Amino acid sequence: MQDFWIQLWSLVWFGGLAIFSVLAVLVTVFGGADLIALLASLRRRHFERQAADTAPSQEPPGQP
Amino acid sequence: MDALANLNLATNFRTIDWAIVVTFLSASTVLGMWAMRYIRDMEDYVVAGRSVRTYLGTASLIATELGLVTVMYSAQMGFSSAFAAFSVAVLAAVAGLLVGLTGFIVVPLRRMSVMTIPEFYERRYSRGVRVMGGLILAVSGILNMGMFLKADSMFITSVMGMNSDFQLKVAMTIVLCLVLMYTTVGGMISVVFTDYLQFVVMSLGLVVTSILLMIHFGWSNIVDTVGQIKGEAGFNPLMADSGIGPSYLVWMFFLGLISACVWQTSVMRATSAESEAVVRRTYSWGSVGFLIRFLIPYFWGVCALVFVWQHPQLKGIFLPANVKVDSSLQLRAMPIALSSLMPAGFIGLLTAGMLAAAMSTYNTYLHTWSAVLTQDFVAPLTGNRMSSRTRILVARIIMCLIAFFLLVWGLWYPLGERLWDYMAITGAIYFTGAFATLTGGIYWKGASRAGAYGAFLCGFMMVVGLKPVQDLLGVNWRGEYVGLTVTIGACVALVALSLLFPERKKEV
Repeated sequence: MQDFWIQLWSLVWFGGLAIFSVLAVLVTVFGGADLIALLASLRRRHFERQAADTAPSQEPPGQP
Repeated sequence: MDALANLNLATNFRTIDWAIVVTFLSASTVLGMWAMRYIRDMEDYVVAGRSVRTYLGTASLIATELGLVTVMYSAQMGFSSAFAAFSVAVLAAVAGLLVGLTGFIVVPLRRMSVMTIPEFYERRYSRGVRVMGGLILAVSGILNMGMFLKADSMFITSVMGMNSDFQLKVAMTIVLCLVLMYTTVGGMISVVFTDYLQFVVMSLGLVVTSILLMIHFGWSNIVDTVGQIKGEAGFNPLMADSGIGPSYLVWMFFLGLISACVWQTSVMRATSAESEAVVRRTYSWGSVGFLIRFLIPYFWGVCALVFVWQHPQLKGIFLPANVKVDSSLQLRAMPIALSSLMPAGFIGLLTAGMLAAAMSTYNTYLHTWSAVLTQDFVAPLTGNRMSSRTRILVARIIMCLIAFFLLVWGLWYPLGERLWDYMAITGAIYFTGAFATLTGGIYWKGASRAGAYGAFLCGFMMVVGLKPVQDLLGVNWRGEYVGLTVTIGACVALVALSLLFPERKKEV
């Protein structure tokens, strides 16, 4: 019975470590790309809202 | 700690290691503070404008869930239960994968576009349920976080060779202040940015340390030594001598499920995700993280056991015959082993990685609990009339108060149980009730507010699981029995009270 558990945990350990190593590389590379995309999206929103904030002050007074 | 003071333990921590740690801390702080320029409203602050994609979400999820405190309590479990503890890691991964594949709870929450779980309570039940749920969630979460500083400081002092308590408190206060500085300013955007950097450093530290430990001890030697120390109980989790057993495994599977889909810090990743598909993918990939966050520290704990066994002086302290070792002392076995085994230069990288793990957890937890208290407790009590700017200010003040509490509580609370059991019990104060309330609210139309109140109150009974409370009551109940009983009780309370007091149908 002990041999069964030893084999199982050996498989879990080496398999888990290998999968995590691959995942870590993938997440590092593609996560970096996601981070750049997030930055771009936030920057776009930031400028859009800045433009929206300044827009009403440019309207002529008295207009509804 | 006193027992170890006379041993004059050597550490390989040198100047180059200090340089690595300081560089990392500076980079993390600058990056976190730089993110503040993009904060415009509460949605940016709490859920990063809902723009987080799969890989970045996975990095953030893993970095948060794998805190230094996780490494510490898991290593303690690996030290006390050896390879049998691996079963808990497997169950956590299976639970995370199930959530990813089915979208259980997290997908409906994302579909509703809620920012916090208590926000769901208001939409589904009432404002009162939201306030109660938010308060219990925050209290339980902050208590849960209360041991982080203590455990983390043990790692830092042991590895760096700092022996005085004063140095330890100063070091941890500095780290906490740095995290506080960029989290209060940058919110979720800072959290995601710094989590990515911390994931990169941390994953490198975890993998390389594990490989070096395997090279040092040899896999067969580790297995043989565990067999010699513990026999079959060191491998078989079903044996009572392993310190685990069948009922503990059931409790661990439930905890794995809960920590993935009910615990607010994990759910924040779902609510910040770009789409429902991203939620599912993040959790499916994240299940590898749920496995590894336990598996690697368990292995380090097993290696610490082998290391202690090979050193008679340490063996007398950590493995005395017929004497129960103090939980706080047991926690120090792994960092002491690593500080002696890891080479100079690498130990700095490892410490930076572990600091990364600690900081990514602190920032998310501080951010989450302050957001919950602001959105779900303070704002509803003021009739939701607070502006976005006021809410951000309130969240920042609450964050500072929580940080102060952590310093005080971490140094005061007497840790009687295993650290993991403390974490599980304090967390369960909230999630036993929340599990019933969320599951009922999402998947059963008949769930009512009376049922929700009942489930939360029932969940609060979990405080009985804490060692000091049990000492006060003069009882000695195992945490898993209390946890499973309270969970079943909360579900029964939800169903029974919902049937007895159903919601009145609104007249058209």
